[in-house]
Amino acid sequence: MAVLGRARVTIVKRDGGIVRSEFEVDRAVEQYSDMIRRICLYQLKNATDTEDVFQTVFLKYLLYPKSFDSPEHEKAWFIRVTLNACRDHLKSLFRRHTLPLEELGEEVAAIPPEQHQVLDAVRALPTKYKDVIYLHYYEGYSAAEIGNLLGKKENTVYSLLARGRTMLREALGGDL
Amino acid sequence: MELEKKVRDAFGCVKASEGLKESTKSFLREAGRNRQAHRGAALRLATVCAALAVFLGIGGFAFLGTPVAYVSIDVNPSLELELNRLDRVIAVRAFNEDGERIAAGISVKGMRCEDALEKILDSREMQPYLTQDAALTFTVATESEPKEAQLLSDIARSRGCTEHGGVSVRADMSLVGEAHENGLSFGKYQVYRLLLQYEPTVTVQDCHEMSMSQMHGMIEAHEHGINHGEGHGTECERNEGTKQETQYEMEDESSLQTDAPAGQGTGHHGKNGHSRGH
Repeated sequence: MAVLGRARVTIVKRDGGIVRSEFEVDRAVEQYSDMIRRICLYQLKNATDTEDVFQTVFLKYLLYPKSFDSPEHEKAWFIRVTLNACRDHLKSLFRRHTLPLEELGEEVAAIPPEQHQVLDAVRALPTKYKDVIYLHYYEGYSAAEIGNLLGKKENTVYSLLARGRTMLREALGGDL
Repeated sequence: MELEKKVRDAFGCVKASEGLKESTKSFLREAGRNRQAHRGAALRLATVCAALAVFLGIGGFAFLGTPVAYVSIDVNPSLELELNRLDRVIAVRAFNEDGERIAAGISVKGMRCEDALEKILDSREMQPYLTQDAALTFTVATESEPKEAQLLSDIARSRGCTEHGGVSVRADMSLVGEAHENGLSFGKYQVYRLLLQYEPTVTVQDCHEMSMSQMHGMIEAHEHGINHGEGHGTECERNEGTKQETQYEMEDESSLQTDAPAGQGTGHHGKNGHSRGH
């Protein structure tokens, strides 16, 4: 691919690897920010951690040397990298305090109060259930697809989903 | 189905703010510009790291986990922070029991260097060591001169220097490995090497037992000509409690009081390119 300028054109290195342009990175930020924000909401403790994870994830994207087979492939990559970044962050900052949902940043303040109970219930789940609940119920992935994303067996995902569902129902009481 | 709808509706309300997106884009543009500016060095480092990654089988992101700078924090506790290319902490090492206590009580991995230093100094475990006569020393070692200048400057402006009387100094990268082989942080090892010029009998083991304040005190005592190198081997054997040690301790304290007004620490001057916070 010809190099037409510094920005706005994907530059192909001689060895065939891809260096991402500012245009492409901006596109990815617009496309995946909401998804990454949702994952950060139920994984992390406060707004500062969210900003750090955002920078980590998109920096990895900027530096990722390969192309993606499809938009689905790219999205799955972002989910995996975000989950890993959140886990790394939690491991290194485990002493951070958990803020109430209302104090997690400006965008969370915009969430209708009637949704807070559900989000708090998901945030309160043990870590292993949060991912499967979010990926299945919001992103619409099947148990098999979740298994591929998270490196778990399909049956394990089914078990986690079933148990997570039960815990959510208990937490949300008679509202279901 | 009801639960599914509730979860979907709840998460559907969660959006990333424009502020968060814009700050992320700005960060990435800066990261991209830094890569352009240091392209030669980055490519060389990336080539070395890629080769190392292939050899060790680590993977494509090895260079983000490769230390390019070190900051040694020494008072009584001795700690080192390893920093990656983005000035983020990738590892913390303790070199004595006091340091281990500090390291066990805080988590700074992934943090920017200046934030990590603040967190360490603010930790409950660190407070007993931040006395008025503590010789808090931050020592920077890196191959890159611009990086060294930037880190020294950042540290000099930090609360560690402006409020706790710390000093920021440089050290050659060649000292880091040698220090670690001797079980000392390179910041403390650098002071040991300086002390060795005046006290040829002092050993690395002696220095394991001494604080930075004690070591600096001995150096300053020599440089101010108070003692002339006689019978000072026993100053290092503090646990034996001899009369001569007691005399030296008293001299040491008085020299500290003379040289350093309260609150400004006892950082050694001149030889190692100090930056002192004000």
